[in-house]
This record gives sequence, structure tokens and C-alpha cells, in this order.
Amino acid sequence: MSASPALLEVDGLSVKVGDITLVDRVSLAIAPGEIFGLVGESGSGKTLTALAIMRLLPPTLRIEGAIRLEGRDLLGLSEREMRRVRGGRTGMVFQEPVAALNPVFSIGQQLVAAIRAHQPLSRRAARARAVELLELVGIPSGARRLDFYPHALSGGQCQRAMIAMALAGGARLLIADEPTTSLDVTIQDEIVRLIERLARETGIAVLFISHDLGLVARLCHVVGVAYGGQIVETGDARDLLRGPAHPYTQGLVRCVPDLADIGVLHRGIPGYPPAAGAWPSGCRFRARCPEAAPGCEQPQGLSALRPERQVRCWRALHAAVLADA
Amino acid sequence: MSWRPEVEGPAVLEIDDLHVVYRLGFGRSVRAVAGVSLRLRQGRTLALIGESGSGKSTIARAVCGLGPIESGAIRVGGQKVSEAPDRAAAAGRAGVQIVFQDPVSALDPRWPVWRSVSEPRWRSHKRGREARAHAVAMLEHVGLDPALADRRPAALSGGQKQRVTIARALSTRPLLIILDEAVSALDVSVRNEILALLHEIRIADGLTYLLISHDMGAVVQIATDVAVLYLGQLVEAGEARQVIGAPAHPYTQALVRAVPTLERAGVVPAARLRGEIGSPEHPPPGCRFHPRCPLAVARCANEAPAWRTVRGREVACHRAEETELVGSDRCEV
Repeated sequence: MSASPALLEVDGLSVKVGDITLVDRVSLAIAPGEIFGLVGESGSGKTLTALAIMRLLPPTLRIEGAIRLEGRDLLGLSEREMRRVRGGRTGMVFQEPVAALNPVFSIGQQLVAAIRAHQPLSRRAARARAVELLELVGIPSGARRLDFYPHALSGGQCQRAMIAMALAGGARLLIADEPTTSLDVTIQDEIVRLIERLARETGIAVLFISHDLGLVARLCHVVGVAYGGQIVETGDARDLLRGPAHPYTQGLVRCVPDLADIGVLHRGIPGYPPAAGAWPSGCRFRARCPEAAPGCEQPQGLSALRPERQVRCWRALHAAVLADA
Repeated sequence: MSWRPEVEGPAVLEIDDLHVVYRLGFGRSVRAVAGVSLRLRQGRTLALIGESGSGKSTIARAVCGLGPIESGAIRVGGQKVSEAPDRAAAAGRAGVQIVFQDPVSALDPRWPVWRSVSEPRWRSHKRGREARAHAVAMLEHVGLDPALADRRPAALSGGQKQRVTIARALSTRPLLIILDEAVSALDVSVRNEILALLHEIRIADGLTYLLISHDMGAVVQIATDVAVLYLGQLVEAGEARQVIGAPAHPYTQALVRAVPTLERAGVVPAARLRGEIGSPEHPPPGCRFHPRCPLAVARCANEAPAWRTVRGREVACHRAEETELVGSDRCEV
């Protein structure tokens, strides 16, 4: 998507259990400083994709394809080497920051442990680094806060501390899975500003997973829309969300109310998303699609609609060809 | 602080000077709700909004008798429910039902769903064939296939389970339904389907809703009225198109602007709040919002603002006349 070489390249990533495919040939690339938004509903495979990139899936799940971080294929690494990557070159934050921190250790103890797991620093040097990290993520008077336990911090401060932990080993890639879902909008705005600033100032690449299109529109540069374990549309975030081509993306966009439309109901997409692995044949969105037609019973490929925009819908591609002619 | 719009229809819910205090032990206590008065008339949907710690869920719990009350009165359909020995039972008899956020834990996993739907009627109706028929009719009323009546909750999707809990709330023909983050755990497309259902039922059955939500996308779609809470007190209340569409209180403005929408793609909200809401254990003097307020002046720290009408809604802010001027600024980055 971007001119600079990708920091993370995911190429044809599939996650399978037995002969059931949960994630189906997902490809994406994120450049340094770029924020990639992976959006979709429950069961679309977005969290599985993130866990597969970190190789955090249980051994019963098989990963296929290629995952290259700074040119190195993560699927070829031993578990021991992979442990250096997790928390080292990559960091991850989740939805429930309070649950992700250990309640019986202070923030400082947890940060120092995370730093020393990846860097040969003395306790004192690691503590100084921990204070720097807390200040980087916007927790003021870091030296004093080090001795706080998670219960003494607000949800927003816990998420800042989690981001500090994720960066403690010198991460170049941050995977954030619904990091603001349990937070108030005002605090969400602060966390979003923080992620934006970190990407801009430190050049980390961010994979931002969310079901909130408004949030993705606010923060992300590039978007991938997941449905039924596949990417159904991908491209520049603003361009894609202002002019979605896939009927599923169009449906999602229609679900997001404008705050100026008070009292206007926005109808959802009829029906329910398919259960993971039990994908319908042909286009997986066919049963819920308002524009389904003969031809949609064929499996759909992800094809270029125009430069920097790909869509998995023959009708959208066809319409674009007609519009050109 | 009270909000008493000139009512036409009968008042379904009246809250008068409600105070709720939680004891923390060691002589410490928190006044989570500090003098809130509200009136909600039939057929309306009132949304309570505010950050965690604002007291919105505490008020909801007090209304349905599931939480403590320090002082004040709550009336539902004219009946005083705040002084009954069993306030939850009194609220139920007066016609209050509640739908919670998580339908998984709200339904008994061992029961076929029709049985959960009929449960609130056990106090007043016979159990038996008629009970099942009624439950099935309620399931159909919320758009579920009657064939699902004998399934257990695990066999249903999240949206279907939430429809079951709505059918259960409807089964006693309530006056007032409290929607406590009822759509917050759902995917956006399913959320909108449930909101549309709630809207249709409200019109068809003449229901009244008290909506507790941090999801502004849900609030703008179904709320007719909005009350904004900050540290246990009302700061603004009125019709949704005024409070959300053109907020007068700086806190409401900040809340509304912090919501990312597609129209504001890539736009950074201009006014931002300093710090976080803090604890109601030690509320700031004067206006409780002043330490975070971008418009605060010396007076705000000393004098609690009076509750008054500004531009057609009620608001507690010394500078509410001036907020219109900063009401529309946005900045592109």
C-alpha cells in the first residue's frame, strides 16, 4: 500500500483446524509509521489473524502462508526465537487492560520485568527506562507511579501502562486488539491520540483491530475489512470508508450513525454473520447481500478495483468496468 | 438539579432529589448520586449519558430496586417504589423491567428459552400450557422464529439471545423498561437491528425506556431525551436534538466531540478534556467539572452553577451562554 518497504508483510495467511479453514489467505502489509485497521464483526477472523501473526495460537490450529517481520519469516522461527520476537520486536495490547495487568505486582515491577526480559540492563537502569516509557505513553510523574498497583490506576491509565509494556522490549510493530472497547469515549480519544503520536514520532507500525468503523476512520491510514475469514475489501482508509465498493462494507458504513441524524434509525445488515469455519459456498456474504445475483454462487477472488483498492465482489468490479467504458 | 419538562402525557418515572451513598468501610463513603431529579413521560426514551463514575448505572439500579438509596423518592406510574420493604418487588409490580448488557449471563443456560421468557409472570399467572403459548407469542413479537422456543440459550446467537431477554422484559406488560447497556456487547449490524426492534415495540406498545449507554451511536438513534451526568449530578438535560445536536454544557460538548464518526474521518476533536473524571469520593468544590473544563474561570471553582434554562434545555454552567460560540469548531490535521 505504501512506498516505503513494509515492516510487516502477511502473505496468504490461513489458519486451519482439521479441514476447517478459519482464516482464509489473508494478505496485508504495514509500513513503518503506518496504522492498518482490520475491521469486522465477531467471528470474522480478525483476532485469529492477530494471534497467528504472534504465533500465539494453540498447536491444534495450523498456520499456513508467510509472515515476514522486517524481512524475517516468523513461521520459520523456533519457539525460543519467537519468544524473543514477542515483547521484543513486537508488542500487543488487548481489550481489558485491567485484566491484562497482574494485580499483585506494581506497575514498576511488571515494566522492569518486561524490559529486562529483552534487554541486558541492571535493575536500576531498567527502572530509569520504565520511567521514560511511562512518560512516553503520557503517564506523568512516572517515578512515583512505578510503585502503584493496577487497581490504583484508572482504566485509561492501565491501557497506557499496557502500551508501555508492549513497547518495553523495543517493539517496531504494535498489535492493538480492540484496545479502547471497554473505555469511555473521552479516554478512548486520549488512547487514540497516543497511538497516533507513537506511530508518527517513533515510526512503529500498528495493526489496529476494531469493530468500530468511526474509530478506524479517525485513526487508520489503511483498512482491511474482514468477513467470513477473508479480507473482502482493502484500501486507503478515508477513500474506502467514503466510497465502499463491497456490499458488506457498504452495509457496515450504513450502520454507523452520524451524530447530526438524531432520531434516525440506521438499519443493520439483515441476518447474522456465519459461524467461524461454517462458510457458505461461493461469495460468503451472498445470503445477506441485498445485491446478490446469479454469478455470486461462484467463489470470489480479491481483485484490484483500481490502484490501492481491492475488492472481493464480481459485481463491484463489473460496475467499475462499466463506469469506465 | 432537576429536570421537569412540561409534561403532556402521564409521568411514568419521577425521581425526586435522589441521593445514593456507597459505604466503603473505614468510615469512608462515596456519594455516587448527589441530588438528581428527573421526570420521564410515557412514550419517551430518556438516555442517561456520562463517563464511568458519573452515576448513570447507579440511578438505573436504584429505579429497579437493585441498588441502595440514601434519600429521595422514586415513583413509577404514580406509585412510590422507593420506600417499600422489598423495593425490587415493588418496582416489578409497578411495571419496571430491565434488560442487561450480557444476555449470556442473563439467561439460565439449562432452560429452554420460552421458560426464561415466562418466568417474570410466575408471580401473577398460572404456569402450564397457557404460559408456554404466551412465551412463544412474545418471542414472535420480538422477531424470533417460534421454532426457537425449545432451544437452550447456547444454541442462539448473541443478537437472538438479546431478543429473548427483551421478550422476557415484555412478558409482564411493563410500563418502563430500563435498557442497561442492552446493545453494547453486540456487533454494529446486529445492534442496529435490535435498536429498530426496540423502537417499533415502543411505538406499538406505548412503552417508555430509560436507556443507559456509553454508545452514542445507540443514543442518537433511539433517544428522544438525554440527561448528562457528571460525578453524580445532572449537568444538562433536554430533548436529544438539542442536547446532542447543539450541546450547551462544555462537558456534553466534549463527550459528543470525542465520538469518532465517519463524517469526521481523520478529524481530531478540537476541545479536549484535561485529565479523567476522578472519584465522587472527593468531588471538587464549585462546579464539579471545573478542573477539566476548557472554559473554567475563577467563579467556577467557588460557586456551584444554578440549574437554568438556556437555549431550550436545562443546564448547570456559569458560562452556558458563551458555549454556543465554541460549539462548532473542528480542526483538520
